[in-house]
Amino acid sequence: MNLFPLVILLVSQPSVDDLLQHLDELYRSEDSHSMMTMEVVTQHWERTLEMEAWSSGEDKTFILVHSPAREAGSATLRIGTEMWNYSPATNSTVRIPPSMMTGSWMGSHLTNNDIVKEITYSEDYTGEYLDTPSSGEAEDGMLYLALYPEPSTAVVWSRIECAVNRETLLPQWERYYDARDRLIKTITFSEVREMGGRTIPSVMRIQPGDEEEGSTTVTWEEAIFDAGVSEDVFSLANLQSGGGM
Amino acid sequence: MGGTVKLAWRNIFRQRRRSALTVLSMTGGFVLSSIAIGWMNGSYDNMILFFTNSRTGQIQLHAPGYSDDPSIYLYMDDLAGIARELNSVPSIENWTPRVYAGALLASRDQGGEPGVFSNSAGVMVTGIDPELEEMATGFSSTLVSGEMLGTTAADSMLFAPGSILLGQELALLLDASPGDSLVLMSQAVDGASAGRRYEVSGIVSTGNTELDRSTAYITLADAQLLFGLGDAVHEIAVMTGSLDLVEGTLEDLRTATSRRDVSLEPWQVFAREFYNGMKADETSLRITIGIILAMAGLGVLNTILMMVLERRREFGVMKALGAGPGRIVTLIVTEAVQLALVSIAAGGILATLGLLYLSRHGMVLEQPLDYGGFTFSEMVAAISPECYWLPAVCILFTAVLVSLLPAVRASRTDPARSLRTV
Repeated sequence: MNLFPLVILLVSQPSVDDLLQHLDELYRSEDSHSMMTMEVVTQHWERTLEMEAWSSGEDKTFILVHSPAREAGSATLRIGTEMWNYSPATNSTVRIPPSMMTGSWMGSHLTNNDIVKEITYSEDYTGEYLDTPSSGEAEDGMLYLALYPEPSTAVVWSRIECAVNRETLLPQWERYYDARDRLIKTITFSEVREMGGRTIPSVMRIQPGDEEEGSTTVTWEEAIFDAGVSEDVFSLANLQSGGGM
Repeated sequence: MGGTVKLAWRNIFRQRRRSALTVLSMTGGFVLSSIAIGWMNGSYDNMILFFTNSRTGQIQLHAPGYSDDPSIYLYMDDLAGIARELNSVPSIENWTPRVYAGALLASRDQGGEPGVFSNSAGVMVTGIDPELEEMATGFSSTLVSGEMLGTTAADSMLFAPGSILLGQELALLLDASPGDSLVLMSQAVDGASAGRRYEVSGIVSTGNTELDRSTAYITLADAQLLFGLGDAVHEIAVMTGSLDLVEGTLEDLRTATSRRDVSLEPWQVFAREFYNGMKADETSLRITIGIILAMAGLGVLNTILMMVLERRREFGVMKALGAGPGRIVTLIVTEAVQLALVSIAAGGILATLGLLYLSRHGMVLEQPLDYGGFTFSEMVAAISPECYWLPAVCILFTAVLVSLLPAVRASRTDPARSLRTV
């Protein structure tokens, strides 16, 4: 499906726009269904959650926690910018208020906003190639990009630097900087695998700029794309019943 | 010298009207500044006591670093042990432990689905010991509707709904009233999710809207269980009952808790904003007192200058009779000092009466003062040594200072000329 642009891209260094388009296409799908684990390490505790996730288009997500046992059945439903959490312990669904969107999702280093906001690199950012990243040496076989959010893109960072493998055109890392040029977080992509017909990194690690804050690692165990997910999954009723449709 | 004092007295009584005028202006200055000082001290002492007694206490205990960056992870273990140490300090009247944790609190929409809580708000959950909190801060006086928290059995079984108190503005935000069902979602200190259903027990209004918009109260035992804190707490507020006892109590507490890693702070530190706001006001009031004293001094200068000018002839006669310039200077200064002493005595009596009245009844402020979210609409005076010695020293000092100049002028009087012209 993506072969045609990929061929063009492989011939020479792609244009920035083509590359951003390509990065957007990597994870985009009509729908998806995946199993993943999320390992959260903080100064004070560590825990691993096993989760199942469904998505439809760009704006619907349903995430169900399977383990640990205490959390099993906890679920998050997101429709557009609305977000709901279900807790089996209290058998209740709570809407996340806008004021809490910058808060942590499930205690991880992902914010609720990270779950809710669909970022389209090619539309929300303008990019340019860099010869070397602003920290560290340039590696062979790597393309470096600086992405600047469009004025209409409401984010707390003012610049993202990313490294993309020149051959596979897969992302290697993204570094987020604030207006004062401080590193806010680093996202590292690794373990490229074939999943659901796509060859993509299966591990994503989110590391806050302050390393003392720990890190979150999300590993996709399995994923199926475009296999058809019922719209009923993305409903409050499904959330209340503990998911699993 | 004895002669000079006697002569000075005679001179004072010779011109009763003029002397009475001088005494009046000096007494007025004394009374005004004395009351201003008493008012200032009294109001601030009262405000500090009111402010600290209503919530913060005069001393607070935290885990080191908590005050700078409050975090659920910075807690003090072994409340029972700390309690023994607190109880060993006799100047501590009351103390109350607290747990603080951020959480999401949500209520149902009217007619919404039973399990769906759409009205949600981020809140600071405060775990309090209902009995200790009541003794320390009289918390029940803030209750607007419903009931205070009881020490219910539900604390030990998280499956039954717990009791929760809401700040008034928070209750509005959540559209919740006593009896309504709420759900709380948060995270325990071990990272696990923490959640519980609650029934609103009551609504409180502390007078601090910022606080009341963001705070919900549950019992300490409930909070410790919910957030996995064991017997740890985040804060202990200590009440000494009087500001004068704070420093000594702080020292005693430091000794009592010396083997623990806790940080002790007096109200000046943890209520910095409040303290600084008051300091700023105190400075402006001190300037006002300075102006009152300066005006009283000018009055003294005026009357003494008049007195000297009127008596040029008299000084001429004294000089003609052989009085040296030093004698005349001493005489005039003695007169001024005697007038000042009379004024201080009279002013002391009047100021005491005024201060006594103001310490009982206070004065209602047209524009209420706002410190740290608390509103003060009445100011009450307090009598302190400062109310007497400060104006007394000022009046005596100005009396001597302002009488010196005309006295020196008078001593230089040329007897022949002054006798001729006046």
